[in-house]
Amino acid sequence: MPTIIHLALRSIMNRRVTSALTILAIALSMSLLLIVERLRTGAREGFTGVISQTDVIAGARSSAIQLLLNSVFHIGNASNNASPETWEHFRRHPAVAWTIPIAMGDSHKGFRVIATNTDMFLHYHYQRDRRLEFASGRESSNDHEVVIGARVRQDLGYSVGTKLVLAHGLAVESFVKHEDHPFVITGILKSTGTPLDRSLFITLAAMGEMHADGAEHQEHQEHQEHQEHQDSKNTSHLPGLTAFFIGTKSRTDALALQREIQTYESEPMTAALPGLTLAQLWSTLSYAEEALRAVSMLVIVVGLLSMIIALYNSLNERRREMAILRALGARPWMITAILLVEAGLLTGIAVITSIAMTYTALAGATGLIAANFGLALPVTGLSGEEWLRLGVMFLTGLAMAALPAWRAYRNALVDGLTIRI
Amino acid sequence: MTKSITINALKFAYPSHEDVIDIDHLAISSGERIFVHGPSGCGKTTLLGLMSGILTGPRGSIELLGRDLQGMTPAQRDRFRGEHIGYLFQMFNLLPYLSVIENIILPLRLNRGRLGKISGSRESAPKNLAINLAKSLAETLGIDHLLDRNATELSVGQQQRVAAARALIGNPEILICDEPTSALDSVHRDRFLDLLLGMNVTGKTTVIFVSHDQSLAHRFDRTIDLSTLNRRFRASTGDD
Repeated sequence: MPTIIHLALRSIMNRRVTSALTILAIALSMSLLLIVERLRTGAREGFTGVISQTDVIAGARSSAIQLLLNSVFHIGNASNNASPETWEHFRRHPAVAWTIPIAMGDSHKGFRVIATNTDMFLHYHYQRDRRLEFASGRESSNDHEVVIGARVRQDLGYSVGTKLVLAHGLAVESFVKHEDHPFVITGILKSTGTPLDRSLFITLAAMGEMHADGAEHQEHQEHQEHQEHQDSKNTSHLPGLTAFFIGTKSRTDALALQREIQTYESEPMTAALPGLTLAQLWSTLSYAEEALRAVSMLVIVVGLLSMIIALYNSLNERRREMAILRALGARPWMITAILLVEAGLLTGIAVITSIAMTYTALAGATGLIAANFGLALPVTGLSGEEWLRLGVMFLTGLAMAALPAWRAYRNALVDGLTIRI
Repeated sequence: MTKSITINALKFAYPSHEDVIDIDHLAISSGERIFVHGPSGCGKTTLLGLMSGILTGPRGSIELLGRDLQGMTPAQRDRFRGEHIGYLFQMFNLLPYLSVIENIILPLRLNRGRLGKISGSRESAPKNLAINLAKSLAETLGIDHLLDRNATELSVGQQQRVAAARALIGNPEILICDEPTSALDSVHRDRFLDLLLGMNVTGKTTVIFVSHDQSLAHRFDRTIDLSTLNRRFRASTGDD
């Protein structure tokens, strides 16, 4: 057996350019699959991990997916708001441990402003158990203080102490600015990889003060009137809520609570279970990912095929070599074994190369991907599933090499000592 | 005198063809040097394939060194060939991806028994015994300065000498040469024959040397005209 491995190795080395190209082709296709899989799991984890430990999301009547898109992904606008009274009702509900109120509608240079309270920093979890942390500063303690997300700081170059004004609505250059209500930055959050990085956080009272009546802040004229009201220092006036996140005391209460919110009589409400709704949303997006996966599988088949073709093509010119080996006492299976070992070495080296290439690519691209897509791709060791995948590819390569190997065996039996050139 | 090769009533046909070999009797003594000649198509290569145990399914019997080839399994025949037979091809004898020394010791690596025969034990042959054997053979054949070269870098004459060293390493009892000089010019051919037959001065190795070049016949103990020996060939030409 050592002789067979030695012969296979020397044979590969002899055709080192072809071998190197073959290895490169297979390794590239393998690392493509590894990276696609990493992106896939990274995207899914980043997506489903955008909100954790929240059991129910409640908002004015719409659909669960709509509610999730509005309140968690900050996509689109809620057509209706839930009243502060409803929030009051459910935050005192015996099954409820905590709530996070979310009121949106304002922006700052294209970034969303979220009016909430300090429970946001206490109870909002993402990626299972991670909480919002401050890179610098602290949470806002009064109605003229604002906390900004990591991306906001990065793009606008703000620091603690910077003063800013908010704009009404979402347009980058809004005509209506709350110029009479300036804010000062008191805290900057660390990057989370969630839409919160692109958000500014103010207190509910601050929003209430700016709008006085949050439920109808669309109208410019009204708005002006409300601003006049602000002098009356009606700080207890809370705005309507886009949503409120609920953590239950016991997870088993979530379903009952969802039902109770959906059937709440005072106001038409929708309640979403975030885990379930995220999974639904993901499954509607995942066809693209499946297509990508299928393509990378095909690329691997092509890579392995190129190896088989190279081996097969070499068979004819190697018949002479087989005859020599037979004359020296080699058994026909040894000829087969040499070809199989060659295929094994090529795919084996390709597997190792693909791992190296994958990590090089990940190391180079992780920062870029995290910054641009908010997608965390941890450079961790190969998972069991990835090893399995590489193993399957390795075995597939060997299985495909069985064809030229069998052909070589036939040749060895038929040719005997006849040297064909 | 002990017989090295004994053939009796040997008939052979390739699958779905007529017989190409029909030899009534042939006996070759141990240490004899036989020159086999005959026109193309008289079955020279086929006879060598039968003698070396690669071609399977002949009728009749072939005995090598007192052992009946027909009674062996294919695996036993392959091992027997590896241990007891040296084989020289017409040309392209060497594996292109091995160095000269690696080519020479290849039979010893493929067949532990061949090395064991020399060292006296199958298991514990000294590690550099093979290398030392190859070096002394190379020296005798005048190729010791080529040992680390790649096989493809050699001239045809050098290649045949390397092939001779490989065929002779481990002192096989039978040396089969299938027109090994046909690719050489007359000067190189004579020098190569000098070397090849000079290696065999101890007289232990039986040499079967096939060639169509009858001018070489005088250098051997006995000449066999295969076209007469092979009744099949005689019959087919008689019909013409």
